[in-house]
Amino acid sequence: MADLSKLLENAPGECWLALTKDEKKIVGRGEDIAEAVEEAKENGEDDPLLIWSPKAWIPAVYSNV
Amino acid sequence: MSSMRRQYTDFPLTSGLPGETKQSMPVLWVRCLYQHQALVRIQAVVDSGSPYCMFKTDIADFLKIDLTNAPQGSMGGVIGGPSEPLYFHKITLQVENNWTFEVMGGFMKKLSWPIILGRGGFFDKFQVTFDHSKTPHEFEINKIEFVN
Repeated sequence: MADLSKLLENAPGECWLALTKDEKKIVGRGEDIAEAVEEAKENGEDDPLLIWSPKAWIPAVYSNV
Repeated sequence: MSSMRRQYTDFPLTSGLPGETKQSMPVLWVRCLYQHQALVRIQAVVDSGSPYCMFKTDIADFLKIDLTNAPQGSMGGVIGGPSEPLYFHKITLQVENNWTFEVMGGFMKKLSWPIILGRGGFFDKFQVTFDHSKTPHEFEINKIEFVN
């Protein structure tokens, strides 16, 4: 199981984050997908994993927050 | 492969039950495909509470999916407040580098999770079992084989 809680708890919010394939490191961020992917590529990760980092990590019903 | 079993993924929790610092989610990595473009893998939550597969509009923007004339609906949540417009468009998904299929997705700007794999489009193709009897929690997905 991936435990992303430590990696993401102090990460910037309201943005896209690009992770390495092994889910261990943040290698890009961006206001949009293209920006996060581009930064990841500059950092050597050609096929990153993308996560949306919310303003706060609160329990949610995901359709309307 | 016609089935897979996965453990839940832990995310931070900044405001939940007192003492809880993590929330476990049934998450899959999904690649979105449209015409000849492919997007990197994005986190998708498996959510039987959602009537459709839903996507942040950022994904449509990246893949240049034109939602201008797309059929429009609206979506509300369990928490009161104004509903949000939802634009429907077909998109192809590749789940965990394994299953590829097309869904009619609902695209919404204010979606707090990038992709939601909901009842229409996902649960009608896969039998999903959530197992909270053990820690970490697990979920299993079985492709439904339709017999004609």
